[in-house]
Amino acid sequence: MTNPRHRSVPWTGQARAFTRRHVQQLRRNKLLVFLAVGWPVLWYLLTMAIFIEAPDPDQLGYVKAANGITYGLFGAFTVTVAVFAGEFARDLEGDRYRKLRAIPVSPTADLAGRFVAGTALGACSYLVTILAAVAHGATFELERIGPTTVAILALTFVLFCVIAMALAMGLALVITKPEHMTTIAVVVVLMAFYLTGFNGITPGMIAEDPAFVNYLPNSLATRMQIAAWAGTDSVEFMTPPEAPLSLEYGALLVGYAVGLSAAAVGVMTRFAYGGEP
Amino acid sequence: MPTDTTNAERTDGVQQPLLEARDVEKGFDDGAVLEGLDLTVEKGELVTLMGPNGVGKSVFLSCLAGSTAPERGEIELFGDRSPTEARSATSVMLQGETIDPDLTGRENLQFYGDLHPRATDDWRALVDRLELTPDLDRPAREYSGGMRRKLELAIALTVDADLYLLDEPTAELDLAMIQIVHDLLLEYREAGKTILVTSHAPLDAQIADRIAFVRDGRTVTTGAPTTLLEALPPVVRIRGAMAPESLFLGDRVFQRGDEIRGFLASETDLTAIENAVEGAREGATVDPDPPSYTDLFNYYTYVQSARGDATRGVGSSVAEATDSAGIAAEPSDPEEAEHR
Repeated sequence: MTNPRHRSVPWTGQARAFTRRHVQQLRRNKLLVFLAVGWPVLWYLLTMAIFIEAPDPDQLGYVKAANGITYGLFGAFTVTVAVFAGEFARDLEGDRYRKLRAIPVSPTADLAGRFVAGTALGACSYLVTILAAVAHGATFELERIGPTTVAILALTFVLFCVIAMALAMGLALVITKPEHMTTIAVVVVLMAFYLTGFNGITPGMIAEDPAFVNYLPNSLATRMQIAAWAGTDSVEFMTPPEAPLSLEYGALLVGYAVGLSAAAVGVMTRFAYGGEP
Repeated sequence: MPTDTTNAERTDGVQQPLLEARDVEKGFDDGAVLEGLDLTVEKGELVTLMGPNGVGKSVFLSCLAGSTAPERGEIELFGDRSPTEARSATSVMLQGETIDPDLTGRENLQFYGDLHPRATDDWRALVDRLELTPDLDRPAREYSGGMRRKLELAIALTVDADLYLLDEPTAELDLAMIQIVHDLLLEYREAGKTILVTSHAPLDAQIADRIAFVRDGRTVTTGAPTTLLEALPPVVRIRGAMAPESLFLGDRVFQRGDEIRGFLASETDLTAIENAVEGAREGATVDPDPPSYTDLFNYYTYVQSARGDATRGVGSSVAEATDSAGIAAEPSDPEEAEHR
């Protein structure tokens, strides 16, 4: 007799199945491949060509590097929101969850699988943009970057992606037309980008007190990354407010990620696996 | 072929129904769909749940699968488990877009197979029999409706489950493929599996050990196909002419090819129909004809309800039909159901 009451595939196996499914979906989606690779690189090149005044030649490489990081995160933001919200909305709109509810699947495994796939795609977008900046002459001085800086860059990147995906779930609930989701996601990310002064690296373009760029997750993560990479003494261009490279700001970013992930679990459990048609 | 692993016996050796649903109710914003549906399925049975579109068959199957929660009533699977608790022992094919259009057929099989604890490697043989192998590496969005049904069926049957809940598995399939699907289901039943199939295609009645008809969110009758056929009122076939519908049960006749078919009311003599048809057209014929599964479907879907609405009420018409045939309408009392 093989009928134990709650037999199911191990949680990690379920999460892996969801990750693989999303990677397979994304591989075929030409629009998302463009959003992941072409979109941030295009914005990086446009910014360098149109919006940046010719700086001191000694500083040009650093300006390009800072913009590479900014648009790397911008690309990761765009693609994680577009992918995550789009795929989740499509699954809700279709009948996939009717089927999934009939299988012993953990909602958190579903969510984790999506998070991993989204973060992997965001990482591709981020790295491609950085590489494009390097090819364009950006100066990163890798020999100066120690393990602590790498850890800060990696952690802020992952937290940033998790925050973006959790917010995207809310977007998917509000926008019930999955076919419009990519467009809406791009618009939302662009708005967030500009309203926070290019994700917080140009707070001077904000008319009122720009202190909020140290508290909103997209600008906070970007400013932390640039401050960690360049050092707090070398980021006058994005101050005031102060460069947010302290434990308090790190804790704030972690808090965003934890809080929004908990909300995402709630959304997944209630709306996807909650049992109603 | 999956193995027989179910044991739905009580410790005292008495066989329990593998599936028992009592008085299940479920509604949505636009009204009630299930209005006290009862169904019992024994271990090893192949039961076809029949009824026209929109009577709640799919919603009921979703309730059995643990995908939708009923508002009232009880569902017990494998003796004492709720649908959610029984998910590891059931495999479900639901209508709709359950397959992912952005994945290939093979990737869909892999995805759902990776999630079910009792998935097997039998999918290769299954997709071969369902003639899907050449298309497995195409994105599912390019599949026709029939191909999607076959893929969904392969996903469900790949699981070595004890209970299969299949929502209209033959919809959109051609006749040759329907035969293949019937053969597959009969093989699974021979292997000891329990299968509940929903359908509005009379063809699916022929493989059933038992048919349950659903109308207005309730089970109106259940029985073996031959028993239900024998219980039908006499069927009259008219060729070459038309007779007044009022002469037939439920005031309805049904077109099938070049003939008209209807059910003879006990108080109506065949001669009365012959007289009505006579002279209408030269060469017209009126004959009694053995009932078909289509007649069975038409009777329980259209005629019985019309009789009930027009004359005596649905309950009494069921009683009359069942009394005359020695078959039982689905009782609301579960004990009565067990004795049936």
